[in-house]
Amino acid sequence: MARRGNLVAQSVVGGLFILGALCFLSLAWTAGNWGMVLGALLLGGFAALILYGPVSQTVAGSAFRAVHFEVLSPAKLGGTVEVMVVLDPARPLTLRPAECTLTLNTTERAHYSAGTQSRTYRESLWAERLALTLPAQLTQRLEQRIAVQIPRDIPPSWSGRSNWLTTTLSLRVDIDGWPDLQREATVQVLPEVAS
Amino acid sequence: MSELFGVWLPRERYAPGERLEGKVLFPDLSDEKLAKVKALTVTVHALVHGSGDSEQVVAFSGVVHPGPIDRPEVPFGCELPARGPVSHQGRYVKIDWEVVAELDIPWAIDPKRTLPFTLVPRGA
Repeated sequence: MARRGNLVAQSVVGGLFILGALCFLSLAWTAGNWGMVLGALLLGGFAALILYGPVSQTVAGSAFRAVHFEVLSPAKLGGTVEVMVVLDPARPLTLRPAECTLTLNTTERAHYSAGTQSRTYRESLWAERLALTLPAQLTQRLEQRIAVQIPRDIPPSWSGRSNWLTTTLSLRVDIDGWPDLQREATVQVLPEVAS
Repeated sequence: MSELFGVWLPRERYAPGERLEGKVLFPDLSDEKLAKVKALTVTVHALVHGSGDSEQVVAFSGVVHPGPIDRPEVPFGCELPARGPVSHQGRYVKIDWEVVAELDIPWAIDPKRTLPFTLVPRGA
């Protein structure tokens, strides 16, 4: 969900940059100022870089009728959590199973703001690549439940106003001839050790 | 010189959702400052600090004894939040739990005593 929010924000910012670049380009073109034209093109290139993420995800998503990636329940420390992966291809797709990954990340994040200054500090506390078995050929709807082991010594999830301890699962599906499909889901880690 | 007062907890580690019970101890009731006390306030909270803006998670805050102190110990208790946060010492985020007892004495700097404790995940 957070990733989707980021993509929307990226699309908006990228769109604004594209608009700015086009306005700048038309002004520069009218004025016949080639330096400004070059500047407008650079701005457009920068906008394209920002838009790459959302565009690639939209393109990757268009290869599927439905994509669903969800953590099914909160997790206890040292316990397991079930994750549901649904990939319903719109056409037969060739995957690169060795490049498809599921990653567990625990991060601490702190946001500082004073006046007009603000800064976010981020530190990875745990990053682990987990086993993900996908077929090389995806021709029909695939529904897979995956049990993920939650480490015992990560901090439980907590969200404050300016400080966060979060655990997420990131799915990356490498599709031949398409941009990678990426999805992220938050794992609610309870302050309780599994018995 | 003996301490005017102190905070006592039976143990140092607690779990989320557990009941915390403790006492504020007054070893010397003859101290004249205790007769002037308007209220004894106890706060049980987590201080979330580090590199970001600091914040507090308050489990309990209230007057546990109104008026002059006339007994050697004043008990207090509260439920600790079931969802935490548990104590954490990270690079950018630090979470420290503590009990703060404060005496409200008119026309004087209110003396304060702090006792840290650790909130660990249930079953740890």
